[in-house]
Amino acid sequence: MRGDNEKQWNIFRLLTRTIFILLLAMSELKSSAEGAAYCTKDDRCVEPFKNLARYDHYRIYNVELATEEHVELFKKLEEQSDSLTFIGHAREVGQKLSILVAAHKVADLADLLEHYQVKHRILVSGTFTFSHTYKIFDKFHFRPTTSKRKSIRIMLPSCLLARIFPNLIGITTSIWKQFMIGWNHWPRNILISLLFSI
Amino acid sequence: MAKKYPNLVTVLDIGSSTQGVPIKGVKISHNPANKGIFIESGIHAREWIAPAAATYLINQLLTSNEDSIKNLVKNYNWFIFPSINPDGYKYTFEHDRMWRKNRQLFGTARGVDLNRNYPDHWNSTGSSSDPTRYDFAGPSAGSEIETQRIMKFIEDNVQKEQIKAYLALHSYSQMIMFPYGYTKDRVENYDDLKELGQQATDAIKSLTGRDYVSGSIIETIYPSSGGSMDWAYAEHKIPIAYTFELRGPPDSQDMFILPAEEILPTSQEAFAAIKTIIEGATAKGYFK
Repeated sequence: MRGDNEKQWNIFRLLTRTIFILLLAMSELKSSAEGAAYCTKDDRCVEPFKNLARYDHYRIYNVELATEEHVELFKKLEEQSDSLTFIGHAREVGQKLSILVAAHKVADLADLLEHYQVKHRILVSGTFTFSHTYKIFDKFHFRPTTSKRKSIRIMLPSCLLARIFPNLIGITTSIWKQFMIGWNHWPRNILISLLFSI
Repeated sequence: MAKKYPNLVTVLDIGSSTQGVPIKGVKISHNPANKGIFIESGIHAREWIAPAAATYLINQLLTSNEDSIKNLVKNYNWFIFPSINPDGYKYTFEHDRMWRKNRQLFGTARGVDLNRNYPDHWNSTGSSSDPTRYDFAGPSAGSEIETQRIMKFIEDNVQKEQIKAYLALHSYSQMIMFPYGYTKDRVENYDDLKELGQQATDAIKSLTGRDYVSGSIIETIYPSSGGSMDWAYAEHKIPIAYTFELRGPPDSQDMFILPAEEILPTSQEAFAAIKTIIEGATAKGYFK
Protein backbone atom coordinates (compact mmCIF):
# COMPACT_ATOMS: atom_id res chain seq x y z
CA MET A 1 0.00 0.00 0.00
CA ARG A 2 2.75 2.39 1.00
CA GLY A 3 4.57 1.54 -2.22
CA ASP A 4 1.38 2.22 -4.20
CA ASN A 5 0.99 5.65 -2.53
CA GLU A 6 4.57 6.52 -3.33
CA LYS A 7 4.07 5.39 -6.90
CA GLN A 8 0.94 7.55 -7.22
CA TRP A 9 2.78 10.52 -5.75
CA ASN A 10 5.60 10.11 -8.26
CA ILE A 11 3.07 9.89 -11.09
CA PHE A 12 1.42 13.04 -9.85
CA ARG A 13 4.76 14.87 -9.67
CA LEU A 14 5.63 13.71 -13.17
CA LEU A 15 2.21 14.79 -14.41
CA THR A 16 2.45 18.26 -12.92
CA ARG A 17 5.93 18.81 -14.30
CA THR A 18 4.81 17.65 -17.73
CA ILE A 19 1.87 20.03 -17.59
CA PHE A 20 4.24 22.78 -16.50
CA ILE A 21 6.47 22.24 -19.51
CA LEU A 22 3.49 22.17 -21.86
CA LEU A 23 2.09 25.32 -20.35
CA LEU A 24 5.39 27.11 -20.79
CA ALA A 25 4.95 26.66 -24.52
CA MET A 26 1.53 28.22 -24.49
CA SER A 27 1.46 31.65 -25.97
CA GLU A 28 -1.75 32.99 -24.47
CA LEU A 29 -2.24 33.35 -20.77
CA LYS A 30 -4.66 35.05 -18.48
CA SER A 31 -4.21 38.76 -17.93
CA SER A 32 -3.91 40.35 -14.57
CA ALA A 33 -6.54 42.44 -12.88
CA GLU A 34 -4.66 45.52 -14.04
CA GLY A 35 -5.34 44.64 -17.67
CA ALA A 36 -8.55 43.56 -19.32
CA ALA A 37 -10.34 40.80 -17.41
CA TYR A 38 -10.03 38.12 -20.08
CA CYS A 39 -10.47 35.31 -17.59
CA THR A 40 -12.03 35.55 -14.20
CA LYS A 41 -13.35 32.82 -12.01
CA ASP A 42 -16.82 33.37 -13.45
CA ASP A 43 -16.34 33.83 -17.15
CA ARG A 44 -15.12 31.46 -19.81
CA CYS A 45 -11.99 33.35 -20.82
CA VAL A 46 -13.68 35.18 -23.67
CA GLU A 47 -11.46 37.52 -25.65
CA PRO A 48 -12.68 41.12 -25.44
CA PHE A 49 -11.69 42.09 -29.01
CA LYS A 50 -12.18 40.18 -32.21
CA ASN A 51 -10.02 40.26 -35.33
CA LEU A 52 -6.75 40.91 -33.56
CA ALA A 53 -3.52 41.05 -35.54
CA ARG A 54 -1.26 38.17 -34.51
CA TYR A 55 2.51 37.97 -34.35
CA ASP A 56 2.89 34.31 -33.50
CA HIS A 57 6.17 32.84 -34.75
CA TYR A 58 7.50 36.17 -35.91
CA ARG A 59 11.20 36.70 -35.37
CA ILE A 60 13.20 39.81 -34.61
CA TYR A 61 16.55 39.78 -36.34
CA ASN A 62 19.36 42.20 -35.64
CA VAL A 63 21.59 42.25 -38.72
CA GLU A 64 24.98 43.84 -39.31
CA LEU A 65 25.59 45.50 -42.69
CA ALA A 66 29.23 44.72 -43.28
CA THR A 67 29.47 45.62 -46.97
CA GLU A 68 27.89 47.89 -49.55
CA GLU A 69 26.30 44.79 -51.01
CA HIS A 70 24.57 44.19 -47.68
CA VAL A 71 23.32 47.77 -47.60
CA GLU A 72 21.82 47.46 -51.09
CA LEU A 73 20.37 44.06 -50.26
CA PHE A 74 18.46 45.34 -47.26
CA LYS A 75 17.34 48.47 -49.08
CA LYS A 76 15.77 46.23 -51.71
CA LEU A 77 14.26 43.95 -49.08
CA GLU A 78 12.61 46.86 -47.35
CA GLU A 79 11.11 48.06 -50.61
CA GLN A 80 9.83 44.66 -51.60
CA SER A 81 7.62 43.58 -48.80
CA ASP A 82 5.90 44.67 -45.64
CA SER A 83 6.31 41.16 -44.29
CA LEU A 84 9.62 42.51 -43.09
CA THR A 85 9.14 45.44 -40.74
CA PHE A 86 12.31 47.48 -40.57
CA ILE A 87 13.12 49.50 -37.49
CA GLY A 88 15.19 52.13 -39.22
CA HIS A 89 16.52 51.91 -42.76
CA ALA A 90 19.60 50.40 -44.35
CA ARG A 91 21.97 53.29 -44.94
CA GLU A 92 25.63 52.57 -44.45
CA VAL A 93 28.29 49.95 -43.91
CA GLY A 94 28.76 49.06 -40.28
CA GLN A 95 25.17 49.76 -39.35
CA LYS A 96 23.07 47.39 -37.25
CA LEU A 97 19.38 47.05 -37.97
CA SER A 98 16.45 45.32 -36.27
CA ILE A 99 13.85 43.67 -38.48
CA LEU A 100 10.57 42.08 -37.44
CA VAL A 101 10.07 39.14 -39.80
CA ALA A 102 6.71 37.56 -40.53
CA ALA A 103 6.53 33.84 -39.90
CA HIS A 104 6.14 32.94 -43.56
CA LYS A 105 9.25 34.95 -44.52
CA VAL A 106 11.61 33.47 -41.94
CA ALA A 107 12.86 30.78 -44.27
CA ASP A 108 13.45 33.25 -47.12
CA LEU A 109 15.35 35.66 -44.95
CA ALA A 110 17.39 32.94 -43.28
CA ASP A 111 18.40 31.73 -46.70
CA LEU A 112 19.49 35.22 -47.77
CA LEU A 113 21.42 35.79 -44.59
CA GLU A 114 23.34 32.60 -45.17
CA HIS A 115 23.88 33.19 -48.87
CA TYR A 116 25.16 36.75 -48.41
CA GLN A 117 26.96 35.88 -45.19
CA VAL A 118 25.23 38.54 -43.15
CA LYS A 119 26.21 38.51 -39.51
CA HIS A 120 23.07 38.51 -37.41
CA ARG A 121 21.43 37.72 -34.10
CA ILE A 122 17.93 36.48 -33.50
CA LEU A 123 16.64 38.69 -30.71
CA VAL A 124 13.29 36.99 -30.40
CA SER A 125 12.24 33.70 -31.92
CA GLY A 126 8.78 32.16 -31.96
CA THR A 127 6.60 34.24 -29.77
CA PHE A 128 7.70 36.94 -27.38
CA THR A 129 6.88 34.50 -24.61
CA PHE A 130 10.01 32.48 -25.21
CA SER A 131 12.44 35.18 -24.25
CA HIS A 132 10.67 35.50 -20.95
CA THR A 133 10.62 31.77 -20.38
CA TYR A 134 14.38 31.87 -19.94
CA LYS A 135 14.08 34.86 -17.67
CA ILE A 136 11.63 32.91 -15.53
CA PHE A 137 14.19 30.19 -14.92
CA ASP A 138 16.91 32.66 -14.17
CA LYS A 139 14.81 34.84 -11.95
CA PHE A 140 13.33 32.12 -9.81
CA HIS A 141 16.23 29.66 -9.92
CA PHE A 142 13.77 26.97 -10.76
CA ARG A 143 15.03 23.50 -10.10
CA PRO A 144 12.97 20.32 -10.00
CA THR A 145 12.04 19.69 -6.44
CA THR A 146 13.04 16.46 -4.77
CA SER A 147 10.86 17.05 -1.75
CA LYS A 148 7.62 15.10 -1.75
CA ARG A 149 5.70 17.70 0.20
CA LYS A 150 7.22 20.83 -1.31
CA SER A 151 4.78 23.11 -3.11
CA ILE A 152 5.54 23.72 -6.74
CA ARG A 153 5.56 27.24 -8.05
CA ILE A 154 4.63 27.10 -11.67
CA MET A 155 3.18 29.35 -14.32
CA LEU A 156 -0.36 28.60 -15.41
CA PRO A 157 -3.62 30.15 -16.44
CA SER A 158 -5.31 30.43 -13.12
CA CYS A 159 -8.70 29.16 -14.11
CA LEU A 160 -7.64 26.37 -16.45
CA LEU A 161 -5.80 23.88 -14.25
CA ALA A 162 -8.02 24.57 -11.29
CA ARG A 163 -10.96 23.59 -13.48
CA ILE A 164 -9.29 20.46 -14.80
CA PHE A 165 -8.11 19.26 -11.39
CA PRO A 166 -10.54 20.82 -8.91
CA ASN A 167 -9.73 18.30 -6.23
CA LEU A 168 -6.01 18.66 -6.62
CA ILE A 169 -5.26 22.30 -7.19
CA GLY A 170 -5.80 25.28 -4.96
CA ILE A 171 -4.98 28.72 -6.26
CA THR A 172 -3.67 31.38 -3.99
CA THR A 173 -4.81 34.41 -5.95
CA SER A 174 -3.18 36.83 -3.58
CA ILE A 175 0.20 35.54 -4.66
CA TRP A 176 -0.02 36.25 -8.37
CA LYS A 177 0.44 39.99 -8.05
CA GLN A 178 3.89 39.35 -6.71
CA PHE A 179 4.71 37.08 -9.60
CA MET A 180 3.84 39.10 -12.64
CA ILE A 181 6.96 38.09 -14.45
CA GLY A 182 6.45 39.32 -17.97
CA TRP A 183 4.03 39.31 -20.85
CA ASN A 184 3.37 37.65 -24.13
CA HIS A 185 3.17 39.18 -27.57
CA TRP A 186 -0.40 40.46 -27.22
CA PRO A 187 0.59 41.69 -24.55
CA ARG A 188 -0.98 39.84 -21.70
CA ASN A 189 0.65 39.46 -18.35
CA ILE A 190 2.26 36.17 -17.52
CA LEU A 191 1.30 35.14 -14.02
CA ILE A 192 2.68 32.73 -11.52
CA SER A 193 0.32 31.05 -9.14
CA LEU A 194 1.21 28.88 -6.22
CA LEU A 195 0.25 25.27 -6.73
CA PHE A 196 -0.37 23.04 -3.79
CA SER A 197 -0.74 19.32 -3.77
CA ILE A 198 -3.77 18.30 -1.79
CA MET B 1 -7.45 67.56 -13.16
CA ALA B 2 -9.01 70.80 -14.25
CA LYS B 3 -11.54 70.46 -11.44
CA LYS B 4 -8.87 69.58 -8.90
CA TYR B 5 -6.51 72.38 -9.99
CA PRO B 6 -8.83 75.02 -11.43
CA ASN B 7 -6.31 77.83 -11.10
CA LEU B 8 -3.62 75.90 -12.85
CA VAL B 9 -5.09 73.52 -15.40
CA THR B 10 -7.13 74.14 -18.53
CA VAL B 11 -8.26 71.26 -20.69
CA LEU B 12 -7.60 71.89 -24.37
CA ASP B 13 -9.54 70.32 -27.22
CA ILE B 14 -7.95 71.15 -30.55
CA GLY B 15 -10.54 69.32 -32.61
CA SER B 16 -11.28 65.77 -33.64
CA SER B 17 -9.25 63.17 -35.46
CA THR B 18 -9.95 61.45 -38.78
CA GLN B 19 -12.41 59.15 -37.04
CA GLY B 20 -13.94 61.84 -34.87
CA VAL B 21 -12.03 61.32 -31.62
CA PRO B 22 -11.21 64.57 -29.77
CA ILE B 23 -7.53 65.45 -29.59
CA LYS B 24 -7.12 66.74 -26.08
CA GLY B 25 -4.36 68.17 -24.00
CA VAL B 26 -3.78 70.30 -20.96
CA LYS B 27 -2.42 73.75 -20.35
CA ILE B 28 -0.68 74.14 -17.01
CA SER B 29 -0.17 77.79 -16.29
CA HIS B 30 0.68 79.70 -13.14
CA ASN B 31 1.22 83.01 -14.86
CA PRO B 32 -0.13 83.95 -18.29
CA ALA B 33 3.01 85.93 -18.99
CA ASN B 34 5.25 82.87 -18.76
CA LYS B 35 6.93 81.50 -21.86
CA GLY B 36 5.48 78.28 -23.23
CA ILE B 37 6.68 74.70 -23.61
CA PHE B 38 4.76 72.46 -26.03
CA ILE B 39 4.90 68.66 -25.70
CA GLU B 40 3.27 66.23 -28.10
CA SER B 41 3.27 62.50 -27.78
CA GLY B 42 1.69 59.44 -29.35
CA ILE B 43 2.05 60.57 -32.98
CA HIS B 44 3.07 56.97 -33.69
CA ALA B 45 0.34 54.78 -32.32
CA ARG B 46 2.34 51.76 -31.14
CA GLU B 47 4.78 53.81 -29.05
CA TRP B 48 2.78 53.44 -25.88
CA ILE B 49 5.49 54.57 -23.51
CA ALA B 50 5.23 58.06 -25.00
CA PRO B 51 1.65 58.84 -23.87
CA ALA B 52 2.48 57.17 -20.57
CA ALA B 53 5.48 59.45 -20.09
CA ALA B 54 3.43 62.52 -21.03
CA THR B 55 0.83 61.55 -18.45
CA TYR B 56 3.58 61.14 -15.87
CA LEU B 57 4.88 64.60 -16.74
CA ILE B 58 1.48 66.13 -16.15
CA ASN B 59 1.18 64.35 -12.82
CA GLN B 60 4.63 65.45 -11.70
CA LEU B 61 4.01 69.06 -12.60
CA LEU B 62 0.76 69.09 -10.69
CA THR B 63 1.61 67.03 -7.63
CA SER B 64 5.33 67.20 -6.94
CA ASN B 65 6.49 68.95 -3.79
CA GLU B 66 10.05 69.21 -5.00
CA ASP B 67 11.10 72.85 -5.23
CA SER B 68 12.80 72.53 -8.59
CA ILE B 69 9.67 71.04 -10.11
CA LYS B 70 7.44 73.62 -8.49
CA ASN B 71 9.66 76.22 -10.13
CA LEU B 72 9.05 74.62 -13.49
CA VAL B 73 5.32 75.06 -12.96
CA LYS B 74 5.71 78.57 -11.62
CA ASN B 75 7.99 79.89 -14.34
CA TYR B 76 6.78 78.22 -17.53
CA ASN B 77 3.47 77.44 -19.20
CA TRP B 78 3.08 73.85 -20.32
CA PHE B 79 0.99 72.60 -23.22
CA ILE B 80 0.95 68.82 -23.16
CA PHE B 81 -0.92 66.60 -25.63
CA PRO B 82 -0.50 62.95 -24.64
CA SER B 83 -2.09 61.38 -27.73
CA ILE B 84 -2.16 63.29 -31.00
CA ASN B 85 -3.02 60.19 -33.02
CA PRO B 86 -5.95 58.85 -31.00
CA ASP B 87 -7.38 56.73 -33.84
CA GLY B 88 -4.12 54.87 -34.26
CA TYR B 89 -3.66 54.52 -30.50
CA LYS B 90 -7.12 53.02 -30.12
CA TYR B 91 -6.39 50.65 -33.01
CA THR B 92 -3.34 49.32 -31.21
CA PHE B 93 -5.51 48.30 -28.28
CA GLU B 94 -8.31 46.73 -30.29
CA HIS B 95 -6.76 45.29 -33.43
CA ASP B 96 -3.03 45.58 -34.09
CA ARG B 97 -0.52 46.33 -31.37
CA MET B 98 2.09 47.22 -33.97
CA TRP B 99 0.09 49.86 -35.84
CA ARG B 100 1.96 53.15 -36.38
CA LYS B 101 0.02 55.48 -38.65
CA ASN B 102 -3.34 57.20 -38.45
CA ARG B 103 -6.44 55.48 -39.84
CA GLN B 104 -7.28 57.43 -42.98
CA LEU B 105 -8.41 55.17 -45.82
CA PHE B 106 -6.70 55.13 -49.22
CA GLY B 107 -8.42 52.53 -51.33
CA THR B 108 -7.26 49.20 -49.92
CA ALA B 109 -4.76 50.61 -47.45
CA ARG B 110 -4.98 52.72 -44.37
CA GLY B 111 -2.91 55.26 -42.65
CA VAL B 112 -0.46 58.10 -43.03
CA ASP B 113 2.72 58.35 -40.98
CA LEU B 114 1.81 61.61 -39.27
CA ASN B 115 5.46 62.33 -38.52
CA ARG B 116 6.16 62.43 -42.26
CA ASN B 117 3.13 64.55 -43.11
CA TYR B 118 4.18 68.03 -41.98
CA PRO B 119 4.89 70.65 -44.66
CA ASP B 120 8.63 70.92 -44.14
CA HIS B 121 10.61 69.45 -47.07
CA TRP B 122 7.70 67.05 -47.25
CA ASN B 123 8.36 63.61 -48.78
CA SER B 124 11.91 64.54 -49.76
CA THR B 125 13.66 61.73 -47.89
CA GLY B 126 12.98 58.89 -45.48
CA SER B 127 9.32 58.59 -46.39
CA SER B 128 7.14 56.94 -49.00
CA SER B 129 4.47 57.76 -51.54
CA ASP B 130 2.99 54.28 -51.14
CA PRO B 131 -0.09 54.11 -48.89
CA THR B 132 0.74 50.52 -47.91
CA ARG B 133 4.04 51.57 -46.36
CA TYR B 134 4.49 52.34 -42.71
CA ASP B 135 6.20 55.66 -43.56
CA PHE B 136 3.63 56.86 -46.09
CA ALA B 137 3.89 60.64 -46.10
CA GLY B 138 0.32 61.16 -47.21
CA PRO B 139 -1.17 62.29 -50.52
CA SER B 140 0.05 65.83 -49.86
CA ALA B 141 1.84 67.89 -47.24
CA GLY B 142 -0.38 68.50 -44.24
CA SER B 143 -3.13 66.36 -45.73
CA GLU B 144 -4.14 64.74 -42.48
CA ILE B 145 -6.57 66.29 -40.07
CA GLU B 146 -4.43 65.34 -37.08
CA THR B 147 -1.54 67.27 -38.65
CA GLN B 148 -3.79 70.24 -39.34
CA ARG B 149 -5.01 70.36 -35.73
CA ILE B 150 -1.47 70.60 -34.35
CA MET B 151 -0.40 73.06 -37.02
CA LYS B 152 -3.34 75.33 -36.25
CA PHE B 153 -2.71 75.21 -32.53
CA ILE B 154 0.93 76.16 -33.00
CA GLU B 155 0.13 78.85 -35.54
CA ASP B 156 -2.51 80.38 -33.25
CA ASN B 157 -0.43 80.18 -30.09
CA VAL B 158 3.29 80.31 -30.84
CA GLN B 159 3.36 84.09 -30.57
CA LYS B 160 0.48 84.58 -28.17
CA GLU B 161 1.79 82.01 -25.69
CA GLN B 162 5.45 82.68 -26.51
CA ILE B 163 6.21 79.03 -27.13
CA LYS B 164 9.97 78.55 -26.96
CA ALA B 165 10.23 74.78 -26.80
CA TYR B 166 8.69 71.99 -28.89
CA LEU B 167 9.21 68.48 -27.57
CA ALA B 168 7.98 65.27 -29.24
CA LEU B 169 7.92 61.94 -27.41
CA HIS B 170 8.44 58.63 -29.22
CA SER B 171 9.98 55.23 -28.72
CA TYR B 172 12.24 53.39 -29.05
CA SER B 173 16.04 53.65 -29.22
CA GLN B 174 17.02 55.91 -26.32
CA MET B 175 17.85 59.07 -28.23
CA ILE B 176 17.38 62.78 -27.73
CA MET B 177 17.41 64.46 -31.14
CA PHE B 178 17.08 67.94 -32.55
CA PRO B 179 16.54 69.21 -36.13
CA TYR B 180 17.05 68.47 -38.94
CA GLY B 181 15.90 65.10 -40.17
CA TYR B 182 15.99 65.83 -43.90
CA THR B 183 19.46 67.37 -44.30
CA LYS B 184 22.90 67.25 -42.78
CA ASP B 185 22.97 71.04 -42.73
CA ARG B 186 23.26 72.24 -39.18
CA VAL B 187 20.66 74.42 -37.51
CA GLU B 188 21.67 77.88 -36.38
CA ASN B 189 21.84 76.94 -32.72
CA TYR B 190 23.33 73.49 -33.29
CA ASP B 191 25.99 73.89 -30.62
CA ASP B 192 23.45 74.86 -27.96
CA LEU B 193 21.08 72.04 -28.86
CA LYS B 194 23.95 69.57 -28.92
CA GLU B 195 25.15 70.74 -25.52
CA LEU B 196 21.70 70.67 -23.95
CA GLY B 197 21.02 67.25 -25.47
CA GLN B 198 24.26 65.94 -23.99
CA GLN B 199 23.38 67.37 -20.59
CA ALA B 200 20.02 65.63 -20.84
CA THR B 201 21.61 62.28 -21.63
CA ASP B 202 24.00 62.81 -18.71
CA ALA B 203 21.04 63.46 -16.44
CA ILE B 204 19.45 60.18 -17.51
CA LYS B 205 22.71 58.31 -16.99
CA SER B 206 22.96 59.72 -13.45
CA LEU B 207 19.37 58.85 -12.68
CA THR B 208 19.04 55.30 -13.99
CA GLY B 209 22.33 54.38 -15.61
CA ARG B 210 20.70 54.15 -19.03
CA ASP B 211 22.62 55.29 -22.08
CA TYR B 212 20.89 57.72 -24.41
CA VAL B 213 22.59 59.43 -27.32
CA SER B 214 21.98 62.92 -28.65
CA GLY B 215 22.42 64.62 -32.00
CA SER B 216 20.42 65.81 -34.96
CA ILE B 217 17.86 63.36 -36.33
CA ILE B 218 19.77 62.68 -39.52
CA GLU B 219 23.06 62.03 -37.75
CA THR B 220 21.56 60.00 -34.93
CA ILE B 221 18.83 57.77 -36.33
CA TYR B 222 18.08 58.05 -40.06
CA PRO B 223 17.00 60.62 -42.63
CA SER B 224 13.38 61.64 -42.48
CA SER B 225 11.35 64.55 -43.78
CA GLY B 226 7.99 66.06 -42.93
CA GLY B 227 8.47 65.65 -39.18
CA SER B 228 6.55 67.76 -36.68
CA MET B 229 9.65 68.97 -34.84
CA ASP B 230 11.44 70.09 -38.00
CA TRP B 231 8.32 71.98 -39.06
CA ALA B 232 7.90 73.66 -35.68
CA TYR B 233 11.56 74.69 -35.64
CA ALA B 234 11.82 75.91 -39.22
CA GLU B 235 8.38 77.37 -39.80
CA HIS B 236 7.73 78.92 -36.42
CA LYS B 237 11.29 79.46 -35.21
CA ILE B 238 10.75 77.57 -31.98
CA PRO B 239 14.38 77.44 -30.93
CA ILE B 240 14.40 74.58 -28.45
CA ALA B 241 13.17 71.55 -30.36
CA TYR B 242 13.75 67.92 -29.46
CA THR B 243 12.40 64.54 -30.42
CA PHE B 244 12.83 61.86 -27.80
CA GLU B 245 13.07 58.18 -28.52
CA LEU B 246 12.46 56.65 -25.11
CA ARG B 247 13.28 53.13 -23.92
CA GLY B 248 14.34 50.44 -25.00
CA PRO B 249 17.79 50.42 -26.61
CA PRO B 250 18.27 50.18 -30.40
CA ASP B 251 18.56 46.37 -30.26
CA SER B 252 15.67 45.94 -27.89
CA GLN B 253 13.94 42.57 -27.80
CA ASP B 254 10.83 44.27 -26.54
CA MET B 255 10.67 46.86 -29.32
CA PHE B 256 7.54 48.93 -28.75
CA ILE B 257 6.14 46.57 -26.15
CA LEU B 258 8.03 47.88 -23.17
CA PRO B 259 7.56 45.86 -19.99
CA ALA B 260 5.18 47.45 -17.52
CA GLU B 261 7.85 47.75 -14.84
CA GLU B 262 9.81 50.09 -17.13
CA ILE B 263 7.04 52.65 -17.47
CA LEU B 264 7.92 54.56 -14.33
CA PRO B 265 11.73 54.67 -14.74
CA THR B 266 11.36 55.59 -18.41
CA SER B 267 8.99 58.41 -17.53
CA GLN B 268 11.35 59.58 -14.81
CA GLU B 269 14.17 59.62 -17.35
CA ALA B 270 12.08 61.66 -19.77
CA PHE B 271 11.16 64.12 -17.05
CA ALA B 272 14.76 64.48 -15.87
CA ALA B 273 15.91 65.09 -19.43
CA ILE B 274 13.20 67.64 -20.16
CA LYS B 275 13.89 69.45 -16.90
CA THR B 276 17.59 69.59 -17.72
CA ILE B 277 16.92 70.92 -21.21
CA ILE B 278 14.51 73.61 -20.04
CA GLU B 279 16.76 74.75 -17.21
CA GLY B 280 19.79 74.76 -19.49
CA ALA B 281 17.97 76.64 -22.21
CA THR B 282 16.82 79.20 -19.67
CA ALA B 283 20.40 79.72 -18.51
CA LYS B 284 21.34 80.36 -22.13
CA GLY B 285 18.63 82.99 -22.43
CA TYR B 286 16.14 81.18 -24.63
CA PHE B 287 13.24 81.88 -22.30
CA LYS B 288 13.84 85.62 -21.88
